[in-house]
Amino acid sequence: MGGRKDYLTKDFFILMTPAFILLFIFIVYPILNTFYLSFFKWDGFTPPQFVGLQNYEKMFGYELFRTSIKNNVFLFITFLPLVTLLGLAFSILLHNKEVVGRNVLRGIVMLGMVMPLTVVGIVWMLLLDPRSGIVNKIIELLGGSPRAWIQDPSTAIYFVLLGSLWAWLGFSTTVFLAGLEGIDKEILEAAIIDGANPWQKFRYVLLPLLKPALIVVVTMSSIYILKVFDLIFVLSAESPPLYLSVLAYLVYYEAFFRYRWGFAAAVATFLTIAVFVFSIGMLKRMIQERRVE
Amino acid sequence: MKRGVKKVALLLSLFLLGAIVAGCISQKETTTSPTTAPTTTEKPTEAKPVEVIVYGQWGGSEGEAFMKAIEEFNKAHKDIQIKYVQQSKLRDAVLSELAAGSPNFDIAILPWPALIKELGQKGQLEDLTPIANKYSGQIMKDLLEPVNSNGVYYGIPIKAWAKPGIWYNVHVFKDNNLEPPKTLDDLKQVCDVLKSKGIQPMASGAADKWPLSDIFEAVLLRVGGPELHQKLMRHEVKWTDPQVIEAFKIISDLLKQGCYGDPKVAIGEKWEAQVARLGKGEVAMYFMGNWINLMLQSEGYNPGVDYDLIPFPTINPNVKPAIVAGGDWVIVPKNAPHKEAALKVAEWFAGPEYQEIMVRQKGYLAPNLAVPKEAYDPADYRVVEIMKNSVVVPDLDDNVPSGFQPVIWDALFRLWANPDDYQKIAEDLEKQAKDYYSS
Repeated sequence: MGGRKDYLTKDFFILMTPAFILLFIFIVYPILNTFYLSFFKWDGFTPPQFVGLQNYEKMFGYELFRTSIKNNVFLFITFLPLVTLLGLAFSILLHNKEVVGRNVLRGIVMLGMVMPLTVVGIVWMLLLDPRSGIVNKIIELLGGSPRAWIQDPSTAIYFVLLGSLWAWLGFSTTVFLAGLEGIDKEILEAAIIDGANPWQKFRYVLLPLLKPALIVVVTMSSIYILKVFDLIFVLSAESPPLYLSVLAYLVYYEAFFRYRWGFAAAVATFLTIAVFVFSIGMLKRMIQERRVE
Repeated sequence: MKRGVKKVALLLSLFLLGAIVAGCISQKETTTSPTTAPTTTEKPTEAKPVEVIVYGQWGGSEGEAFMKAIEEFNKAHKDIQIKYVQQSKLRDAVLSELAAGSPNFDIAILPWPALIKELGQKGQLEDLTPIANKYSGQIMKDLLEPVNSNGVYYGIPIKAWAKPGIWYNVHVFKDNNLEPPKTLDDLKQVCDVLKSKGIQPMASGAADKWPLSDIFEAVLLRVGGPELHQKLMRHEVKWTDPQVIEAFKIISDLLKQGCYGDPKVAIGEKWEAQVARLGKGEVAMYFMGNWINLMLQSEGYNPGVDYDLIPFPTINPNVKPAIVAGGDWVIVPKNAPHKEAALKVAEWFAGPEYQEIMVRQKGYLAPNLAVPKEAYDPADYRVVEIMKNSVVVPDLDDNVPSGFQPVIWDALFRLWANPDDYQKIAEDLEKQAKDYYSS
């Protein structure tokens, strides 16, 4: 085996150049330009004016930024454990060949994953419509009063969470299912012979072997929930109430409603760094796991 | 094989770099010289008509009516053809294309006079004063002036609308022996009667948020008149002013009384769905702009027979009657791809010929006063008459500083969800207004 950087040959660079060019144009340049723009006061039309760190200073004292952070944090701390645990539970259920209607259930769980988030939003809006939605009809049949669940400021955020879970459950289930399929049956049989009960089998055999899948699920789900925008946008009829604002919406609002492109760039930079720091941490762990393997 | 792959990679890299350079050059050419005269060596070809792209947000029956007017223009003009592109996110499309420096549209129809003025001041829009001068004395002054900056008109109104009052279902009122309310007390009594009969007294369209500011403005105008309305728009009075608080409280009381049905359900009602509910009599009254006249007629309801219109009930008898009216303005970007043709089309939109075609299709009020009275549908003309007998004020939330509009909508939405919180909502609005008006 050669050294770690043996692949960095002339051929490598020639072959990678087209990909690097595209990556630079569509990913690196916009990120760098956004970062650069965050030091300017710019309305999009008149010449930008350099303001140093002023946009960042303003950002931390801005009420809507704090609301957005609060919503992002709430979604993050609720979505992440739920999508992981439910994905794990469903994958174990679907992995068991004795479960009746396994394929139908698999299709239902995957449905959210194959549908665009905008469609997911519309489906939820129809289900929860206060007059014609099936959820409220059932509530009425049970003697309750219908409610505009998605629009109500006290419940709206829970439906963003629910919609996100439905959309992402398919992904986490698929990844865990792939992890389970890759586990050698003999290991599990050996655990049973050694007298491990179902909990011990799960805790000391399955979970450690599912760690790579777990890291993928946590990383991808974290990136999604930190950047969540489209679902909120659709659920709130393309005009999200500011109490439901998240960082990604704040970028849009500041750029297109207040024409504070420099300020929007500062929020976008903050969001990019948050996503970057989190993903780098998780990717590092993933690489470490691979090395251990 | 390996050499072949490398060659492909190199060629692909060169192609990508070439494409980038070519893209930059062609962009520069388009923006610096939009039209070039044919050279003498070129073969003469039949002149292709210039396609003028018009961005707007009119859809549904309004969009169909507009398409018919465009067809008339296209039939009569072989050299210019109008192509209408409906933009559901019109503001985003226009702003991002203008910011990019090379808009793909020649004309945009915008309902935001404050934005038009701002864009004009920033050098983004063509001066349309020659068109305003051509129709001097014909165009409604109340609609022309909001887009005037230092004597330059950056937009021309091509459509007027008004929020004249409450549309009501005639059959519901007749069947329940009710008279349309003239005062706030009448309105509350009517609400009680309708509620007891299981009919939702009023609809709000709260899920779309913007209709709430129309209701708030109607109440504000009846509490403090046009002066209070205009002062609040300019933030010369606070959102915590006693008269403003009174307006909030009146709405809060109506909500708590159940005039808008159960607030927990009302906040989920979309505005367009309420038009059909009004026609069917599921809801008795609806405060909405004149455009629902066309919507109700297209669903088979007859004005004066199935539905009618009353001004918003009086609250303070000492204030002058006033209504909110606004419009849609055409703008031409400085870097429009076909500027000359765009200016000709804008001139046609501003004139009586186009506007009469639209008025005859109902639900459209012409800002060009040369359109004859006979062209109007009786219900539309009723709105024109209400406008004539009232002080006309511009829409408050359309004319506040950029970004403050969704803050107002948000606050009113919170009021609908929690009517008891009106004092806190007003205080929050005042706190935020300071930031928006100072930046």
